[in-house]
Amino acid sequence: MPKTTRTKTSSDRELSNVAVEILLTLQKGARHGYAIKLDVEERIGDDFVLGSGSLYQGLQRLERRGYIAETKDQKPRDARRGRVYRIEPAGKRALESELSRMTRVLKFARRRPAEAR
Amino acid sequence: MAENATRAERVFRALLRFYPRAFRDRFGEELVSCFRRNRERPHFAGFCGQCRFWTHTVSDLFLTAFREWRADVPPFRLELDMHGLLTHFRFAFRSTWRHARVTMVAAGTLAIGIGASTAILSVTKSVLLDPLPYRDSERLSLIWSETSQSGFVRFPISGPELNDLRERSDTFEEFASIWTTTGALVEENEPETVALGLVTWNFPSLLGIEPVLGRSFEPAEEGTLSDALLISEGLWRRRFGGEASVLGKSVRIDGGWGFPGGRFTVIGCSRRLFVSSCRAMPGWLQISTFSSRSGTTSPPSRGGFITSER
Repeated sequence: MPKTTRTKTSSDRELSNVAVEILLTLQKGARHGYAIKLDVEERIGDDFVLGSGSLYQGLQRLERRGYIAETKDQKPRDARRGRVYRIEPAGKRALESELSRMTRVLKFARRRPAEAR
Repeated sequence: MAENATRAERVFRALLRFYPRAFRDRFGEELVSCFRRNRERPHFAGFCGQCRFWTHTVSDLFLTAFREWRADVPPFRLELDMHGLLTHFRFAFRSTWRHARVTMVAAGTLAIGIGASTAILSVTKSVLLDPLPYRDSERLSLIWSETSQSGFVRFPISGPELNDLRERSDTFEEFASIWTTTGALVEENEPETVALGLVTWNFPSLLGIEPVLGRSFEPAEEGTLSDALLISEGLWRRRFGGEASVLGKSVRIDGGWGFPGGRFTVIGCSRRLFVSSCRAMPGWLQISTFSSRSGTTSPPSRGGFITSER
């Protein structure tokens, strides 16, 4: 069967917003799920609450793509906090790529504010 | 508070069942742990805070559960854009064309199956489910005489027996009888064989058969070799052109079995003289002509009874 070609939409982007936030947090070091959640919420501020389902779904997808991995050698202090994740080289590359895309968009928006709006 | 927390946790654990099993097994405990800590945060304190907390938790859970289930579906099922759809149709058509014999067998099997099911359902509906097309059909009973010694378990009742029933029975409100036969209508155009019912005067009225033209039988016309004849609307339109002048017309009907024949006077025509879908009376279908010559004399006096329970 011929391969279907489809126009890419925003949902086809390499990384979702949650994934970018998770990777940004893990860049600072390995963390468990709840610590990632707190870090993201603190960075975004404005009483933002990251849903637990969204967080773990994001972690699962990043792990499947090989962008992050579970750390076996670094055990969490509290066992109930769960698995600890670290960022992988592929994850760093994907994050860099996404950040540079965002930068291009930002540059464009600042250069031509009237048209961008 | 602890009890409340436990109850809330139980609710949340129950809600986790909306996730696919694999996701639940892997992240379930961590999600519960997150839930517990989130709930105790000052941000969600108070009644309004708890409402906000639950709204946020449940909506996040349903959204991510939906995404998880969708991710489990094979990709081709998600290609609902026109291109993907057309591709699938094309593929299906080509496969069907390439395997014509298989397609024919499948289509034939389906046709036979659908046809058989429809036929069975139609028969079941008309025989078992639909009521008889008469007034108060649930109150009607069919009475036969039992003459096992003569070899007939069900035999039509005689005229004298009908009289006895009419006089002595308290079980039924009314009795009527019919003797069915055929005759030959030889008036005017070509002779035509007609189904004939020799009835007691109240037979049409008991079944709720009202005349569309003229009148029905009267009590005086029973058992007196009356020449009153009630014809069906179909016969009236086909044979007599649907004209009102048929009333009072004298027609000749040659006799059949148990019916001597003679000249009759048309007194009316009825819309429904067909004894259709009658399970117990298979021989009484398509009664297109009625005469009131039945009664207590022999031979037309014998007949089955349609009775109405009191």
